[in-house]
Amino acid sequence: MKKRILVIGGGIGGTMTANHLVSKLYPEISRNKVEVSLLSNSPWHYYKPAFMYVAFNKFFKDELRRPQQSLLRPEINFIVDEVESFEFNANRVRCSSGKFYDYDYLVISTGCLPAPERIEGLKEAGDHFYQYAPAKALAEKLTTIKKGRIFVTVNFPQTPNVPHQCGIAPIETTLMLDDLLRKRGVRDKVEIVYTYPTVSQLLRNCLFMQKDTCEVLPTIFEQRDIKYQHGFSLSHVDPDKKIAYSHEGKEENFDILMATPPIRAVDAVINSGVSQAQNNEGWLPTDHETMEVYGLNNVFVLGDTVDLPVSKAGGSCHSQSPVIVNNIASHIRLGRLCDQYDGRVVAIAQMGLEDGMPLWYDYSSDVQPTPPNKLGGLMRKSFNRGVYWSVARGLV
Amino acid sequence: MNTQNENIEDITNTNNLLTNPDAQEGLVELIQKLEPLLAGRRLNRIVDLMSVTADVVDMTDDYMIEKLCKSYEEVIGGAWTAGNIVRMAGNEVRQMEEPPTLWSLLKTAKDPEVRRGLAFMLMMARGIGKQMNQPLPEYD
Ligand SMILES: Cc1cc2nc3c(=O)[nH]c(=O)nc-3n(C[C@H](O)[C@H](O)[C@H](O)COP(=O)(O)OP(=O)(O)OC[C@H]3O[C@@H](n4cnc5c(N)ncnc54)[C@H](O)[C@@H]3O)c2cc1C
Repeated sequence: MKKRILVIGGGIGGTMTANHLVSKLYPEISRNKVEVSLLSNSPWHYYKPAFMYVAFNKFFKDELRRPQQSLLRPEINFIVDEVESFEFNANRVRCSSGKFYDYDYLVISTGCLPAPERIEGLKEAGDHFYQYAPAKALAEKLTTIKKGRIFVTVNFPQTPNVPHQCGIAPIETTLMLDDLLRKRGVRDKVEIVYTYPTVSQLLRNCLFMQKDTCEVLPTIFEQRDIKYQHGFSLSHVDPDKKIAYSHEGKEENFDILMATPPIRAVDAVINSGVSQAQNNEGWLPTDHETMEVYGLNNVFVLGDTVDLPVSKAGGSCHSQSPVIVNNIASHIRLGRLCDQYDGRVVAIAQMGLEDGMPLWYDYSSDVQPTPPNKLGGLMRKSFNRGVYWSVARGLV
Repeated sequence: MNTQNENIEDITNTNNLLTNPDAQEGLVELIQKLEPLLAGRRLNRIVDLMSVTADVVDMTDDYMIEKLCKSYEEVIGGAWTAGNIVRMAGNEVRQMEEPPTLWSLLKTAKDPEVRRGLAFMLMMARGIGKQMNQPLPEYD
């Protein structure tokens, strides 16, 4: 009997996994014993980290997306449709077109969504760069502001020990902001204030979610005259008065509120009823080694939808995806799972508009920050413009 | 720190490296070369290069090696197969005294291997077609 592998989500996790599955299982696929399908609700694949650059006028829309089909091996059956509900008991998904798709193995990589509406006033008064349209709107403001106060806040999910999307992004964008305003010659008239909430995963009262990086941040910020505060957990915003209030009782005025908003899983995942996450955030309970969804058979999850303590980043998908591919391949071939995820995340942080800092960490070791430099910046730029598409195709 | 200094002294004493006039001259030359690089902060780039190389080494894992090797094998394998075919076909064609007539060209299709090759071409066309079976998404 032919085994049907169904991958949901044409983002980075789903795309690299579908491509890698074909190359790993080619002997079975060529004999028609395995079939790989990828189902996504968009015919486009977006390089999401580039939304951050859109806010700084560094990327146009058509440079950060490709037709999904052009990134897939021809053996993959690509379907554009939206999953409305997961019917795990019947091993199938129901889509908005009314069609059902059956599977023997399911891989969920539907990512997460920014949810600024979950904090009163934030949607109306705040800005963010986690999607294209809001990033473009923010770019308008950053290109025209002449004086005032830009206030940066970071919001964590309420599920304990789950990070916000792309851990380093708030620092990256704060440094890029400083560079942009200097370039525009208005930096001396615009105050930048970076803040971090009291609770950030396992740390308390820090400036970042990992201790070693926390320790180097004050120096980096002071060199650039960026103000910083810890212990600011956004509670609500007054859009008329332009004041951000914190749970700790502080009030801060702003001209631009650049916020990392709350996030949640997509509706179909939240409504699947499998999540045990708090605040209806929808993260799937994930076996931190095998990447299976707890309590389900032959269902795997990766990327932003997991409830693991690792960064919700493409650099995590890159290490989680081969584990899932190996586990599905060994389950088909040997009847058991054979690989374990060690929590590894790799990335090149964009530290200001020009410099980059390669970094990596896993379940047992934190990031060891090194001095950002121009070569790291060139590496990041080449990743943004080219290498990423090879990663999505499962070649790197 | 002290131990390190002593070690360096030990080494220089035993080898007489820095007391040798030729070595000293070489060192002076080297320092002269380095001076403008240091002044222009260009030597920093070499240190950055070493740091980035070290990062790449540490960031590389077994999965990445596996994928890169697979890509390498596919590219090299594909190029090798294509190269062999071009060489063989070229050799055959070069040995023809006269270019084949249209009729004799058609007759070559009697050869099952030629037919298989033609089928391969058609299957390639099918693959290309499949790759393009989704209309280009609309630009908004
Ligand atoms: C501004 C920004 C900067 C970032 N910077 C970095 C960085 O520097 N480094 C890094 O490693 N990561 C970074 N990230 C994070 C990275 O982009 C994500 O972690 C990554 O995209 C997650 O991959 P995923 O496959 O889980 O989800 P996604 O890439 O979000 O893909 C989800 C896919 O699922 C589809 N989908 C959703 N719902 C359904 C449904 N119901 N039915 C069918 N399909 C559906 C979507 O259309 C999409 O194609 C950044 C993200 C942002 C937004």
